[in-house]
Amino acid sequence: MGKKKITKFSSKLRVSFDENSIKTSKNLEASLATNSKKSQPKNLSKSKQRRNSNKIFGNDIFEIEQETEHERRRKNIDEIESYEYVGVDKIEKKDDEEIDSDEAFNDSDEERFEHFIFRGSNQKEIKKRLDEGIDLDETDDDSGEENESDDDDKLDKEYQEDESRITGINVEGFVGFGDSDSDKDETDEEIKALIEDEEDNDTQEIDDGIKADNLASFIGSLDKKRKRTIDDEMNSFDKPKKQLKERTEAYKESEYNLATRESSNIRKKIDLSDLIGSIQEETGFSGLKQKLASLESGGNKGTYKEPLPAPLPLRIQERLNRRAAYEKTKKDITKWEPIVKQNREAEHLKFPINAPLPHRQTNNVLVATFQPSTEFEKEVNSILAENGVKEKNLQQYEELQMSKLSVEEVEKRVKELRKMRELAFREEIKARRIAKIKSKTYRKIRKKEKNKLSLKQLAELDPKLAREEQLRLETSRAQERMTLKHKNTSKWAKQALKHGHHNLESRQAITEQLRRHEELKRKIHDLGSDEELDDSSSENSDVENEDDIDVIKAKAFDELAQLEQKESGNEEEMKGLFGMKFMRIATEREKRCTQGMIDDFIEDLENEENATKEVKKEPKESSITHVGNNPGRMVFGRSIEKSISEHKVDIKKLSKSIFDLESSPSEESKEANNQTESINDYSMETNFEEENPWLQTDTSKILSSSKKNNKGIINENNRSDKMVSKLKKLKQGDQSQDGIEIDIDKVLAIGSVQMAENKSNEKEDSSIPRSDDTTNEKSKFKSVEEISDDTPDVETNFVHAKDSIAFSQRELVARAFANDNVIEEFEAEKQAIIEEDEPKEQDLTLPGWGSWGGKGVKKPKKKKLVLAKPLPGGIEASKRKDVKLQHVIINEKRIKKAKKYLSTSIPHPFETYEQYERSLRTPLGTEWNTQEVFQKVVTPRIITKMGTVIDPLNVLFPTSDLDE
Amino acid sequence: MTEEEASTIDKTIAEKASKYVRLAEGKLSSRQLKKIKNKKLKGTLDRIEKVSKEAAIKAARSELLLTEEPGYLEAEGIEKTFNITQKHLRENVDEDSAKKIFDLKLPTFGPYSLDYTRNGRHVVIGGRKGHIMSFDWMENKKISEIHLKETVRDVKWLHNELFYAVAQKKYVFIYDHNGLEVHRLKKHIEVNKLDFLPYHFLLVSVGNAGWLKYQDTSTGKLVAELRTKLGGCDAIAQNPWNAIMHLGHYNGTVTLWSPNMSTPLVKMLTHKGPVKAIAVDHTGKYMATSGLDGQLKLWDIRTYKPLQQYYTRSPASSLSISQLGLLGVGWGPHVTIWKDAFLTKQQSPYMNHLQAGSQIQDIHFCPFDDVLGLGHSYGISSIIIPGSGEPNLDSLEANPYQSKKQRQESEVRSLLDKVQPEMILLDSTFIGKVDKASKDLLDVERNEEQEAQRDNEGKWVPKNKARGKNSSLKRYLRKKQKNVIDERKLKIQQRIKQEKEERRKRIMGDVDDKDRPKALERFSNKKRKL
Repeated sequence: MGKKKITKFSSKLRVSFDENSIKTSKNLEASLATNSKKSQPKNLSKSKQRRNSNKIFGNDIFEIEQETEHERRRKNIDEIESYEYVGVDKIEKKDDEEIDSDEAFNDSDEERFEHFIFRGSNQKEIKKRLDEGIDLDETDDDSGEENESDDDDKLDKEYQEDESRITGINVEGFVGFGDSDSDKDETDEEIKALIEDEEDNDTQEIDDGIKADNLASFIGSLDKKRKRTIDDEMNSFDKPKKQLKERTEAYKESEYNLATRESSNIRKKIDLSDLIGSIQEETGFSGLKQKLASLESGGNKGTYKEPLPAPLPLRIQERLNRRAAYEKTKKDITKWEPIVKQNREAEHLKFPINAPLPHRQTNNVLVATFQPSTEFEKEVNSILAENGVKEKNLQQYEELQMSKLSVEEVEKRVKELRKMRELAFREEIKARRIAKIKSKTYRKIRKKEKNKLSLKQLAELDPKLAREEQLRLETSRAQERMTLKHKNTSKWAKQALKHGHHNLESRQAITEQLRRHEELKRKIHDLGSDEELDDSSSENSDVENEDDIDVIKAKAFDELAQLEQKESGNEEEMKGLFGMKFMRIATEREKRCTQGMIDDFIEDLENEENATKEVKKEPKESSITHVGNNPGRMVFGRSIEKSISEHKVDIKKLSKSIFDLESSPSEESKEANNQTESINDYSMETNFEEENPWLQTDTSKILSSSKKNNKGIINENNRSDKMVSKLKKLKQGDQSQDGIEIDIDKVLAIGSVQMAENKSNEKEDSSIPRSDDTTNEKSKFKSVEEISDDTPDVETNFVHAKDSIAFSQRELVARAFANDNVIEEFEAEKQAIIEEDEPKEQDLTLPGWGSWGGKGVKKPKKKKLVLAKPLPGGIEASKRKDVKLQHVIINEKRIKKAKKYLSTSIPHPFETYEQYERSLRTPLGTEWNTQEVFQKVVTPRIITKMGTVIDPLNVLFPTSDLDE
Repeated sequence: MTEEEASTIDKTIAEKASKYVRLAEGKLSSRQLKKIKNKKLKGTLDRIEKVSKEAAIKAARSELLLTEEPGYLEAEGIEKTFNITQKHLRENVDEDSAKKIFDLKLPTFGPYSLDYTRNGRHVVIGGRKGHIMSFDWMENKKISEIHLKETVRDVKWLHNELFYAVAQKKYVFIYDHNGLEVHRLKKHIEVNKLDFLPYHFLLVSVGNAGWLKYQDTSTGKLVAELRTKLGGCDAIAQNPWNAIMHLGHYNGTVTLWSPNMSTPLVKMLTHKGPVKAIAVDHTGKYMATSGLDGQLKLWDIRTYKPLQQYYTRSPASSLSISQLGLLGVGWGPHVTIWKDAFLTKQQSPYMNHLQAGSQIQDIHFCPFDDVLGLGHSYGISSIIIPGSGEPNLDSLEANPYQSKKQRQESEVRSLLDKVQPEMILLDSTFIGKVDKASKDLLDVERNEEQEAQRDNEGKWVPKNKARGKNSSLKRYLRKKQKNVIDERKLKIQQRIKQEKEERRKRIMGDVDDKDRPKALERFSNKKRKL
């Protein structure tokens, strides 16, 4: 039973046991026998453990035991805490005497604790006793806890008997054991905690020795602590025990006292000298003594000084092993990384991976091994053979041809070949060298050169394309001119001109701009190098046409004319010295002289060709005329009279047609009207076309300019102007009579009246601002009309809504539906819907809340509104899809039935709905894809071939192996 | 092939592919795609991009297989295409094509409305005064002919040539290819116009009462009844791209409807007078409307903006847009065909036709053929309009030369692929996309749904659960008892078994031979037996 009992003791109880034992020590021995007997009846009701201890240690101990365990624990903890720092000096040496183990465990004890296994102590003795077969009473108590209560009395008796048998009780040995045992348990726990800490901190690489030291010291400290507490306890409620102080004798050394008790701070370790001290005194151990001496000194024979550190606890060892193993496997596993990555990234995986491809014969092989098998093949073969078309024959033929050549010819060929090769090689080297050049400017220049060249070449190769290209360039140039980017008008340019004189870069940029400007100007002249253009450039450009005499002549005349002009201009300026009379006379004379020379020259020319007669007058007249009293706008090389007359005719026609319209809108005279109008437009445009050839490309520009032109004309002819305005007024009157409101800006309101109005507006200075759209439309329409006007309008069934013919039609229709206020109704409906759809705000104000009531209370002026967030689901008027579409109401309500086809959140791999919807946009079905794409899209990620063994993954190039 | 040639071919294909590229919504540029940090996501997106690009290129390459090209009339010199009459054409085209020009003179029952099947092979015509006929116009083979002796307002083929619907005086009826009445749709009352959505199997009708009704012809269910609140309607057209119905109303508005919404999705004011006819381009981009105000307007229905407008001498009564985008306008006795009318303003029509002395009632371009069918007051006629039909046909989609077997198979397939009516929305690509409504709104909707569900379920009544019957102890005991065999239990079991058997016999009428009355038993003395 002994062993069992011991194991059944809770560690606490054991601790208390120890405490008691330490305090009581030997002087209890005598008193115990008597005291225990006295206390017997009291203890019957107590638990067995307690009883045990009580019986052994007597009354005073029992008093200690009276405390509840909880209390004690608390106290223990408290005291440990407090005494570590405060109560150190209280502890006296006498309090912690150590008891000789030999003394402590006597024969009687051996009897008593026969069944206890004392580790590393007198196991032999126990064995011996067991062998002897001495049966003790305790063995009967095996039945366990259930029988405890029943057997209490019996046990008590037994204990009494035991105690009576005990003569000199020395519990020390037992105590020592209990002590060490409990120590171990506790320290184990502590170690565990420590280890855990260590694990956390990952500081595993602490030296074993250090660890062991730590451990030992920790254990020691634990002991200390405990002892202190125990001492304290003793001190606190065992005043009469002070007599213990007198017992100061040292305990005797024995195996049982190896774990030494330290007094206060001094650490007492068992030295070798301690162990062999006894030997020193005795004789007959000389050999051993010598050996030990050598060991101790560490002198000649051995270097042993320190004992080997204790091995680490098994768990830690294992953990270290595991860690090492982990490192190793981690390294091993990296070899799989590339292949796993590759497989993960692969679109499809086809198993078995790396299956050998089926052998496919090449064409050559097929041809070489071809044997005609079918009849048809045989037939073909035979026919070929008949005609001698066989591979072999062909080869032979070629060889023969080669052999026919003479030696020289062959030589020549070889030479040629060599030369070609040489040239190719050089070219290659050159190209390589050029390709290596990194200079940006060089590249730029080269690129430009290339482009220029290409344009020239293009002109040679494909004149049409070249023209197009040129046209493009021209338009770009025109745009450039329009934007005036090349002029120093931009903000930056101005700034640069002002401040940037010192900055080299900005200066360069400015010069570059100027150069560009110059270039553009020059290029325009280049392009328009027709007869009526500026002299300086035309000289350059017309060099090639020098053989054309007429041109030269014309040029000469032009020059003359200009000279004359200059002179005439100079005449007015003459002031000062030149204004004096004698000077004037002199110049007059000189002029006459030159005039004569000119005349002579002209006469000469005339003599050469009669045709120049007319030309003779012309230069004096000057071919330049101003358009529309505008000094900035000129018409070159064409008599203005003609155009003016044309305009006049047009205007007459126009006015006439307008009057027709006015007088009889319902009459069917529209065709004439239409024609006249179109002719009018056309003539105007064509006029301009001829005049400004380089603007020809952009019709809209023509139109705009033609409009301007129109304006000019109309300014000249105020009469027509008035008529038009009159007409307009009349029309407006008509409209108001009809009672139909028409807003020009609205897309809806389309009608010929407006268009007519627009037209008339255009002819005048339009006061009503028009939206861009309508003008654009207008221009488009016009341009289309322009194209179509040369084809007679045979089909009159369908009429363009914007034609003038629609005027009466429109009126009729307007009358027919005059009562239906369709637009107003629609707008009202739209307004209602907009209001209905607007987000509604919740008013959460509660009447009476947050304000005072009663007599004489003024109502707050500003009523506080407690507003919640607007209810979800509405849409603001400005955010509607139909904000800009006045003729459309778009339903903004949610379609709830469709909700089930929508995803409520963005699916996993995608981060934004844009990404997700991007993945949706390409449909997968066969209806929308070619078969190939469809199959590719729907191929599963993993394809396994049926009936094949799929081998486990293997590494082709294990990297870790390479490392090692 | 040299490199240059290859590069030019690549270029042309890239150009062609541009029309197959599906544009993504949103502003996600390729540069932004490159910036994505999540490698896996980037990989997927890259793959998607690659696939879609490849799909476009492959589609462009497969254009090579479209061997046929549409041909138009081309005028030389002073000639004009609109001066070329059907007579000229008949003289100059080959014999087979000349057969396509024909007139059916049916003066007694006119005016006629007509409809082509989706593959363009069959026609059904319906005379106002009750004459219905369906025939294969290519082979001039009559299939069925019936006289209803009742007003017929419109006729419409259903998914194939086996069934057609007729809007009669009061109801809509469905007839089969033999002219037998199959269904009477009682819910469709006084219908003016019919239409059929082939992918959804929905027959759509609208009539004098202004109700737009959708009937599923595969299940027979009435999917939706929508009140237009705009009076009687006589103009209807479907947008083949998204199956939205366009209705034209007396107040000049055109409304766009889906069966999922009780109010129109879009309402556009198109004319100042009643809308007479509507036609929608088969790409779903353009719409043509004609009104009593004498205007013919062309619209872009992606932006709802007007493109062009023309005046007609008299209001156009019927409009039709061919597969290749020719616009046919029937007005008075005339039919005018306009080419490229949507993008540029045309000065002169492409072709003209005069059906002298009659009024055009209905015009329809024949799919996959250069033919226009006219229904007028004196019968129907068929004229050739070069370049109107799609020359390359997809036989899996609509096959004019299909056999009976093919027809059956395609019917089954189309039924399997039937699109649900809930999927009809303005944007037909919405499926699978993310609901972009605000979270608040979604919460509100969810709450509403839950409430509605709760209402449907009714009040919660606690179940009368026999609690405590199945405690662990009892279960244990039960288990324990299973193995215990005692006499009483055995007896009881036997008795139960017997009773069961008897009950079974009683129910089956299988009474034992002893109990069964024997033939001579009636003569025996019953009392005695007892």
